Amino acid sequence: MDTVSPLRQRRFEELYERHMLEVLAYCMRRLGRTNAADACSETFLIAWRRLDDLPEPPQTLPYLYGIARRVASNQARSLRRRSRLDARLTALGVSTAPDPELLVAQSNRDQEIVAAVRRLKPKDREIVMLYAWEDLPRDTIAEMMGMTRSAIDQRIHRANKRLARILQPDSYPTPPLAQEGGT
Amino acid sequence: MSYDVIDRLVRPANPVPDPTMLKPVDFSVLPVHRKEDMQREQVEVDHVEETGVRRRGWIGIAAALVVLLGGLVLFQMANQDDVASEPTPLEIATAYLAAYSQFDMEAVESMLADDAEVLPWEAYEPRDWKSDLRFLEAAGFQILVGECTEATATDGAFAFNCAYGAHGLGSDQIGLGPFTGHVFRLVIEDGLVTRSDMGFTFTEFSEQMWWPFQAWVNENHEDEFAVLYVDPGLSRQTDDAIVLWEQRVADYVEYVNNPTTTTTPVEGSVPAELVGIWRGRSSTGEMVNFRLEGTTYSVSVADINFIGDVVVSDDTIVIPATPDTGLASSPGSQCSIDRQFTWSIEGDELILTEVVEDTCFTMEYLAGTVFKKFWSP
Repeated sequence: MDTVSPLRQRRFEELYERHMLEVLAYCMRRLGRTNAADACSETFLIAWRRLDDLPEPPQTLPYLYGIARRVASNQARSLRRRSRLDARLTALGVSTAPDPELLVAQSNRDQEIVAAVRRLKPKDREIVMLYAWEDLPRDTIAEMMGMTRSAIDQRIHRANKRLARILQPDSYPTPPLAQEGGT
Repeated sequence: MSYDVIDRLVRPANPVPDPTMLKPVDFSVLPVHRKEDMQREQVEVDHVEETGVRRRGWIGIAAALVVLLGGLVLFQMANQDDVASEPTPLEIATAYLAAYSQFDMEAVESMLADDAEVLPWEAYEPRDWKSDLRFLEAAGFQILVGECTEATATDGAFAFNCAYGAHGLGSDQIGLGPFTGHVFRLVIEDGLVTRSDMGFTFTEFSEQMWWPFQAWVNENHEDEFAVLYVDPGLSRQTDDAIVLWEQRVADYVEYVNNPTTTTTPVEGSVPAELVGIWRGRSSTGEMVNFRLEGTTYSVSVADINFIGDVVVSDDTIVIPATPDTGLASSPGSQCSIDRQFTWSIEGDELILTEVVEDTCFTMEYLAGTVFKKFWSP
């Protein structure tokens, strides 16, 4: 087995210790607890391979989120393939089903809001999550998503508009899973 | 419900508001999967235990990397006899690109997974790759496939980056191109292409082919613009449009190779220093493309697109209100008025100033935007 350079090893160790929890949280928000660990692990595996390409802080974490996004997307596809039942639950975004373990501590209202966020179009949903839950600045999100800042503003505006419509009391009868994917 | 209220609702609904709360439970989760790999490869895990829980992650990951590579080698060794019958991922990638470059839709489809993600030529929005392929063929494209190199992929997948050059819109027939530096990105899983991203780099192609061709269309077949384009940066790919693309590309090649005598500029036509595409950001942050040529203009902002006549004098630009310009959406109303600007070029910047205040906000993107020349014919 080839020996790993101690410098590289140390660099990766620092990276892992600094960002592991944030990446794990990112994956849990999108995949639920069960699948998040695997996706997080995969993300760091890719980060290990691409260690020399990693940007310096503060761009490191958005870069890791970018890897995690692709990993989560691939994992969603694998899950869809694995079984029709899984596909039904994950067809239009990773883990459309709320994770019961995650949601235990959440109020009903918060669960409804999470369900509403999951009903956004995939790209809009990702942007809203990055902005509201990963708390990234809009400029950083723009860079991550390969979009202009104004496009991000428009997407957030559009998503908020849609969320407002979904969260109107008279729109509740529609089951969240049936509406995944947006218009 | 106002939008800032929405934002205040969404933030606290974060399913994992504080990642540090994951610490006691989830630090042990990561190495679990990798640990199995490590045991399979008889990696010494005692060291992992000694160096603490956090270190488990990277050692597990490094071990997994070794496992992956080792597994790949073992797999290849074990399957040496089958190599002749089973195409390798690289062979699949090469065959896929060969089919794509020959616009062989059936062959491409046969190599694509059912749920494959295909990002065709103009990929900033998902499009029907079949229409895109038909468009490329009709619009005189040639895909000149280069070498593929393996790229980073997730477990069970093979990723390849394949360099390619291209001709398009008849560039090969008018002595331009090929345009190089593009990278086809493919992911192959279980013998099928699961992701195909054409990865075209537009800059040079756009400057030399896309915008000049579009300017020619505007000048000579203005009424066909809406058939050929969704907006100035995006082709339309309906059946009718594809037939027309083929025809107009052939006409354009003929025009460039056999230029007719230069006509005398029509009075009121755009002076040479203004001709081209100007680009700038509006006061609200949108990117505005303002094209001027001959006696026509176009403005595109996001998904808004105005096209029409323009009359230019030494210091004014007048965009008459006609139904075609989009300025007369309410015929007879006070909004149905000509838009008039003074223009000046300071350094490399075009400044437009409203002569009459635009109370109807029909052209608010032009006034106040500082434009820079993006393309000249």
